[in-house]
Amino acid sequence: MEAHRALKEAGFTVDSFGTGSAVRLPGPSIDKPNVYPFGTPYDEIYKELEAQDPKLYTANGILAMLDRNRKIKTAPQKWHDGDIKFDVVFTCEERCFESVLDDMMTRAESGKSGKALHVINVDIKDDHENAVIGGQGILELANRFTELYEQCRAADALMSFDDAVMDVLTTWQEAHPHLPLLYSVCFE
Amino acid sequence: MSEIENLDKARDLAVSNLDVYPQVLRSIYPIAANNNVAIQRWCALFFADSFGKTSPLARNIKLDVGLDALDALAALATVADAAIFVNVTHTVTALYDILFVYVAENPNASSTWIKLTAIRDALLARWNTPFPFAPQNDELDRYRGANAKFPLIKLMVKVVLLHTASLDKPPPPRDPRLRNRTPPKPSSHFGFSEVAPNHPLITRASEADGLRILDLMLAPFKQETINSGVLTAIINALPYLLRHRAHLGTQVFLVLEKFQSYAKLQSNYESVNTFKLLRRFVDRTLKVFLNHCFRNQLIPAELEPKLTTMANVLQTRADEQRRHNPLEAASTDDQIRKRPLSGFFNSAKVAASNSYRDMWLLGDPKDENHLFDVSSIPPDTLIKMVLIGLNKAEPKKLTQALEIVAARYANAVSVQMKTEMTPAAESDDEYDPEATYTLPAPKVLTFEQKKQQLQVIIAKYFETAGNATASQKLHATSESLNGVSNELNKTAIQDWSNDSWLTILSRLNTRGITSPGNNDEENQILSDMIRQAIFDYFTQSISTRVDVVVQWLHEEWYSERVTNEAVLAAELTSAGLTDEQVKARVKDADIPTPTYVTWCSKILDAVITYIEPSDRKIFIRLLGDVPYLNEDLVAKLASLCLDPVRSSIGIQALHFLILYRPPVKAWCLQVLEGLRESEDLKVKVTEMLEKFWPEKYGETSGIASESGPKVETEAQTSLMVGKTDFKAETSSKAEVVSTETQVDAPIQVKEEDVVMEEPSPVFEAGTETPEADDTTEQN
Repeated sequence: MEAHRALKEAGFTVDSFGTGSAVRLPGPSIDKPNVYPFGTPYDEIYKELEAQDPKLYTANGILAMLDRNRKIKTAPQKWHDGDIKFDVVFTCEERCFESVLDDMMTRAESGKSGKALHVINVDIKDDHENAVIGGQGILELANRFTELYEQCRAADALMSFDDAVMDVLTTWQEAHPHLPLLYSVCFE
Repeated sequence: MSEIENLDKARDLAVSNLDVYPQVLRSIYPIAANNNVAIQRWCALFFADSFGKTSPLARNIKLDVGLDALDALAALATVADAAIFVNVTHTVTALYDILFVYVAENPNASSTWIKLTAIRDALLARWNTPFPFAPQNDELDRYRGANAKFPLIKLMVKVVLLHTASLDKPPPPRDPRLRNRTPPKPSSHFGFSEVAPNHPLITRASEADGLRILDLMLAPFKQETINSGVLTAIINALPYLLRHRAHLGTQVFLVLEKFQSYAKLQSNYESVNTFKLLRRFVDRTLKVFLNHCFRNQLIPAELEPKLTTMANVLQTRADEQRRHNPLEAASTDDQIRKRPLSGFFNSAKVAASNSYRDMWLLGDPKDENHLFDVSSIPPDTLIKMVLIGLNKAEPKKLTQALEIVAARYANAVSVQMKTEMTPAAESDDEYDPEATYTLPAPKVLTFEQKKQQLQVIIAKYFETAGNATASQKLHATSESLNGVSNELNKTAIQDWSNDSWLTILSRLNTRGITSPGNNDEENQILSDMIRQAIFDYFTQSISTRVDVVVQWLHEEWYSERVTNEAVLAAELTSAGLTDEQVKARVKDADIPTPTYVTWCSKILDAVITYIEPSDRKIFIRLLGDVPYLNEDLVAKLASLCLDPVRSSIGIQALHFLILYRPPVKAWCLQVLEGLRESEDLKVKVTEMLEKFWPEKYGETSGIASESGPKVETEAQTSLMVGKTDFKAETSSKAEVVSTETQVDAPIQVKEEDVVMEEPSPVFEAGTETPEADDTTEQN
């Protein structure tokens, strides 16, 4: 969601999804997580947790996170339910990346567009500080892709965007050694 | 209103009212054949929207209008434009199964089938090319044109699916999460097995086409380099195919099972970091794919053990990589090998710009060496570097390189002409495309500039001569030079030695700068500069450079004589003589060689001034080998004879010339005669005169004394020697000497044998029949 916020503020058309079976948030103890189905509005979750234990959920940052999220979008969405209409998909965890690839292998159907979908994983540790760093890294990549896309549209370009993506990823990886990349080309 | 705006209106009308959609589509088909790329792009996009993923049309409508779309699609399929190609490929992919089923059900639809397969093949022909980009270099081209390859992968999957048998239904997914989901619609279950066995159009050959196209699609896995975009795209497209055509699994997995990213080579067009990343990327996608296939029972039983191992290897690798910087140094880095580069790194036929750097750049543009400003190197060093480089270059490779550069110039000129033509057409200017462009003539060098340049050239020659290593290098490479150079070797330079440069320099002097009818004063001055340089070079080390100077004098004398013969012949011819007469007169004429005499005189003066008694042999060889001696030149020996320390050299030289150079014998005897007055030499000289001029000084015959010594015409005999010399000019000097002496004497005399304090038997043998030998020489 941090990446969603960064991209949205930069003016990109962006959607965000979860790849699990439900939304899981830390609960009062490790074996009692708060589980919500996808589609439950952030605002609703916020109010419920605030009523449950405002001290705990303020201390562990959950309320702040939910507050940020409800300003970005209404409710968490599930990847597997969504219609794919993107140029690039960023995942922030290897597990999600593999889940997205597997899903695309499953849902690939004839008759659909053969448009390439660039799936990129930027592996981010799941804490607030790293989420901010990772979000900025993803924004950088997205900006670089936009530039590259414009360059490759020029009449005298010697490579297409699809060819030059690897160069951008290499340069980016060299600048961000602690955010390991994965990349794959799927079809919408 | 522009044409595009009209088309937009038509499309909006179709979208808002599906009843008129087919009519609108049909009205647009003819427009696709238009040569306007903007309109063709519009059409291709509209067709993709009409038949592709977002189509609002029902399948039966698609078939109806799709049958009429083939001509328009065929016209667009050949346009070299990325956007058009991508949308046409999407359209054909979407229509292929609809039309395949139609042809299967209508065995007489041969026109549809022929058109459809022709469009398919036209699109697939781009797969092994860098389309939409112009080919540059086989290796680089593997990394270009992915934007066209991605839609082609989808088309290939569709074609393979239809051209192969749909023997099996997909098994239900084992993953419980997936069981609840709607299974994919069996839209593509139709396949080759549903076509009537005796179908006249869709035959066994069509099934073979399907398998061939599958092979084509998998071919990038067999390349020695990795293109992660294309490879992951193929992998990601495979599960759909395998779900519907499990029997193709063997063919697919036999290729994938052999794929080992760690055995692949790094391309010359990617950094090690890029290589490490793309290896990682392909491995991970392959891992996800294998797991997907295991889970969905898409793995052929016979390959299960091997693929299980492969999946485990990939899983281990992924686990090791987790949370590590993918670029950090690893133990496997040492095993990364680069693919050997064939051809040139940058073989683009169109330069990035019109700068000299870009026009001539054949290496990696990112290589910082190419940023080096060569104009900071002194021009003479640069010329040396270029010459060494050219010498080393393989002619074939050099030709390829020049072809690339020539193509860039041709392209730059044509672009330039186009841009010049455009305003000309508008302003109705008198532009004549037939006019040929002529380079402005180079500025004529002033005499002073010529002198300066020649000075530089001369300096270079001497520098080369002084640099043994450079000479040896030239020698080493001369063997691999092309035919022209070999011819040069045959005639002028058989073995490249440190002195070979002088052959070239003296020829530059005698034949390059000076030529018949071109002996104006300026050229004489330039020639004299070279002569002076060779002369100075000689005088720096007289004892070691006799060969050099003799060779030069031969060049000098021969060229001057030939030139003056030609001048004389021209004069005689213009005086009205026949060719025969001219020949005879020229043969008998005394052809003057003043330049030669001048320089030979300078050389003798120098030698006589500085010669040491120990250099005796060298001096005598010089006298024996120079092409021509006249009376004045011979007379110079007198001073040497009068020098008390070196008189023996002078006397021996005269002795030698009397014996072995009969044409100058008379002048030698005259010199001896003049030395009789010297007290020190009196005895020796008298002795010699008695022996060699018996007519005058012989004890028995003083009668012939007034007639003077018998004089041969030096010119004639020397000319023969000269000719012999030029045939054998590259032989070692020892051989030339032997040729000369062989005609003089029946016994071979080698230079080492020639002069002895005590005449050797060989020496004696020559002395007995000198006059008879003179006759022989003249034959």
